[in-house]
Amino acid sequence: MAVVESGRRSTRWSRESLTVIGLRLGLLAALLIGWQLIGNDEVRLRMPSAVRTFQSLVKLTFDGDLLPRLYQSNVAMVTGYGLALVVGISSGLAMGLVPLFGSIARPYLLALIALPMIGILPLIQAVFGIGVAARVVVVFVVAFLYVALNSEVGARSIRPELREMAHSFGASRWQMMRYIILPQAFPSIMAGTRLGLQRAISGMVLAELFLSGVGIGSLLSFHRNRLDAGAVFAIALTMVLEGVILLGAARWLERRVTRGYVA
Amino acid sequence: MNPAIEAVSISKTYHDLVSGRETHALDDVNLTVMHGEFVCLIGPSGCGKTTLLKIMDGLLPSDSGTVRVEGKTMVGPGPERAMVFQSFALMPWRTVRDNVAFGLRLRKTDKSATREAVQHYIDLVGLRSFADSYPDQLSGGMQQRVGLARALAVNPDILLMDEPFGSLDAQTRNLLQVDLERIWEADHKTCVFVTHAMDEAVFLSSRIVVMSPRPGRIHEIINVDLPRPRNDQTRTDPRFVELTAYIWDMLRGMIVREEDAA
Repeated sequence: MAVVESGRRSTRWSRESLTVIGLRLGLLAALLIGWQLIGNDEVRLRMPSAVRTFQSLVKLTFDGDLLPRLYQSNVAMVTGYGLALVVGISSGLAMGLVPLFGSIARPYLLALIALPMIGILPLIQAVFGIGVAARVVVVFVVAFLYVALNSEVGARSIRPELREMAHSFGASRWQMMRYIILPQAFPSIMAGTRLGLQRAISGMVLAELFLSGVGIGSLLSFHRNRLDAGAVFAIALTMVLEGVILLGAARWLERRVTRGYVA
Repeated sequence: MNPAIEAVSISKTYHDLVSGRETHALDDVNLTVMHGEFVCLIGPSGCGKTTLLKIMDGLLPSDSGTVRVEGKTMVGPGPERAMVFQSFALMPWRTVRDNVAFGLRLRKTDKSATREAVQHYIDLVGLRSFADSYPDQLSGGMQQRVGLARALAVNPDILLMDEPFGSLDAQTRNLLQVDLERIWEADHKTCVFVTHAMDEAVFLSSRIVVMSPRPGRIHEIINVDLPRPRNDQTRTDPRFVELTAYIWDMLRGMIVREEDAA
């Protein structure tokens, strides 16, 4: 569902929202304290405490090669996800707007959803090798479906009377797309974009763990093999942070575009 | 006076792809509407009145026959015609102001001219204090005022209205009829108005076209000689009552026959 963004900026930092932020920070503090208490730093492979995890994170960042590997991972992720957005949104819209095309293509997409990714990794490896192209393909395949299927739902939800109205007022094809179809499909497209992003991040790590030993995934398996639980947790934490930041960026973009949208 | 819009021997049949059934919506219909006329199309459901209006707007193709606008054969929707829809057809993600501006924006009208025209028509339909509201914050009557302002804003020569007050309650409908009459009196735009309400047709029209169903045909055309401008007093005029009763008689005959046939 689209977020309602009323133009009332004065209420943005109302007492309610400050309370929510305060409670959120309180919960975070409670979680960190709890984590610290259940952690066990005496044995390396045991669950690390919060402090050990953050120490590992600092060490990996400044003494290790966390950042270059993160970059390496993201090159594949961003490329694959970007392709998934372009192909997914356009094919999804086409499926929704051209019913014949939609009913022909839909069963194939739904079949792909049921396919476990890990099962086709050897196939991707056989075709694309183990280089960056293979990782891009993995990210694309896992993200594309959600983007396409949600875009299709968006395009099918368009109210026919609005198309008729725009037609009556002489809208060109492009104007119909710009003023009527895209705004109505937008909330669904964004839902697909968010779901796809989440899948793209996990696809990225999956490819690195099971396909080619590069990026953040290989760093993860390296430290896992050395039984360094602190480093493993620190890397997992990095991926959580990346997910939070990217989803936050997607939400920010969505609000900017839908400013004033009342769904 | 010249004809503003003419429908010449229009026929239209709907084919239901699933059941294979055919509905003969219009059969050789001829209708000429003069400049400055307010014509209502009335008839039982299934008489093709909305179909005829949509064909005249260019939203639907006819099977045969032509529509002429200012004597020229029309091929699709055009800037000299604007439509008001039964379902209002407002964009829920846009404010009243942006909805009213829609037609002008499509025509790439200069921004300050658009702003001025939009404000003018918002004032005219009485929505000044709701200009920045969203459609779902308005009542049905107010939403249709937006639909009316949007059609007027492109300054069409011909206004086509498809049961615009059909989904409103009786009181709101009376208010909007009076307002529409007031707006129409200002410049006597050519209007074609589809309705199923007899009193509405009599109140607004210069001529009433009564249509009969299956196949849709023009049954009778009635001149409405009530004095203008019309207002709420008009509703108590004996002639108003007489005409309303006359049309009801005619429609009742058709409806009863339909019911018997069914």
